[in-house]
Amino acid sequence: MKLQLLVAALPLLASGCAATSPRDVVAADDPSASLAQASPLSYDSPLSGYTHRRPVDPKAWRSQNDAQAPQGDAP
Amino acid sequence: MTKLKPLAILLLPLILGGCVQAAEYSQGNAGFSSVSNTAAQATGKNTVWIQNRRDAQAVGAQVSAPLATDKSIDAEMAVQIALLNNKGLQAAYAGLGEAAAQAWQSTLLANPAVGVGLTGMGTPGLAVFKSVEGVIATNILALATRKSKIDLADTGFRRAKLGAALQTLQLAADTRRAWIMAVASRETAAQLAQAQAAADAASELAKKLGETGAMTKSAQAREHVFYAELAGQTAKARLDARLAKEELTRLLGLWGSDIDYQLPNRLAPLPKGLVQRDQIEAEALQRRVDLQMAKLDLEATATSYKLTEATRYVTDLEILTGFETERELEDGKTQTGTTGNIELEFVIPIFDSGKVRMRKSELAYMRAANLLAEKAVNVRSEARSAYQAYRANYDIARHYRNSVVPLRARIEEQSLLTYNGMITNTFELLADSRAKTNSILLAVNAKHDFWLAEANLVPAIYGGGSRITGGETELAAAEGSGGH
Repeated sequence: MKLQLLVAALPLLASGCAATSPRDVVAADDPSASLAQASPLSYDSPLSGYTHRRPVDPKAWRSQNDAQAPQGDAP
Repeated sequence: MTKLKPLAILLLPLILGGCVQAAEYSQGNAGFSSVSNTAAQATGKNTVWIQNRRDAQAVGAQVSAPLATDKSIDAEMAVQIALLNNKGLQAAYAGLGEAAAQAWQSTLLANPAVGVGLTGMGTPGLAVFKSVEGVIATNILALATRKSKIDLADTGFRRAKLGAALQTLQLAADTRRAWIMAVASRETAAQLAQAQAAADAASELAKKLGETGAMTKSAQAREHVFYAELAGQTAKARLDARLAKEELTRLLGLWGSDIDYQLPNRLAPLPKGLVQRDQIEAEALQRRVDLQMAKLDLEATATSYKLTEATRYVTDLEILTGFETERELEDGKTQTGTTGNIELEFVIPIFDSGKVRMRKSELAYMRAANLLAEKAVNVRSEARSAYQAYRANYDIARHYRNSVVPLRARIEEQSLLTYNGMITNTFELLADSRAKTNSILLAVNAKHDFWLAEANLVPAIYGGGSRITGGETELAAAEGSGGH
């Protein structure tokens, strides 16, 4: 009788020891865990290359003239 | 023979139930072949249901191979990568598996409840007990309505198959649109950068002229602000291009080093001819997956209505079969006798006659019928819209390419001649150059709209289009948007 009771209780004992995990469906690299692949981001401004200009007053005509003159000693 | 009788009574509920084969639902990838076929028919791409790490690694290798090369990803490749690598799609396939398991569950009989009892424990002279009672309770109503329940679960499974197919098509369509948007925004940013270069030259010249006193401050400011505004527009276009690529990256399911993939700099030119699709409305009615889902909903509510009607008055009916072995002490000897018994248990419908449940079922059917009609009307209209957008965007894009841009080019050409002849000044030449660049930008936008409309044709026929509209880009006259 005791043996029969033991046989009847066996499935209950076995279920207590069961430790099956579900199958893993994600490849070895896990995006939620790999901190190594989250490198700091580089940023470049989309406005790079823009030069701001303001309206200017006329400069002194002499310096303007000199700036346009050919460089080097006059013949 | 007398011993067989109680055994036969005990086994009666099991014999009633019989044995059911549910091979269709119990397979590991139940229902996936139909999803895969629908996706292949609509998009021409493969789909995979990843169910273990080996599958995941195989798919990972398949995805990484094209990304590792320096070649840019075209639209077809992007769709294929998304279908293989998007984890949200895999989650949808798991939902399909759940529906299959649910249908499988419905084919299984409810386990009979068994009761064993001892009475008369401690009766003098009989040691342990006086009688043993064993009973097996089986729900007869569940057996009677089993076929309807299996039908209902099967409809649910078929609906889940269509749902998974729809999500596959949705992802394919979204990825194609995201790829077009990503490439289109790169092309727009490049065009704007060209216009910005011309504006920069004009602004620089204005500054020099201002320094000589040949240009007023207000005239200088006009040139500078035009350049500044164009720089702002270009920056926005560059940002749009970056964000559009990230949107595509999400749909492709990429992360880590895989995100450094390349995209083409421009969309393909307009095709020479269009595909004849004037039967698109009929095609959509035949093939739209979401319309088929709505039909299945109606079918399911009809089955459910019949089931409710069948169980309206009797909601629970159980048969209890069992035996009773009694021991009696007679003349100092123990006499044992076994008898069988059968009981029926049911609920008497005094207070709840099931009218409310019938009404609810009826309303569910009415709702499903109306939703189906609405869906059919929408499917027809969406198909017509998609066709209109496809044809009209092609004509508009051709108009910009063949009529507007050549005229602008001619104006710029003539402007250059008059400038060379010292009839007009530099700013007039630059203004004409800018107007031409703007016209090219409008032509590029019109081309984007055409390719988007082309990408929306398949979702209009098969389903999966969330934004079935025509072009989103605003088209305006070059003078209005860029002139100053």
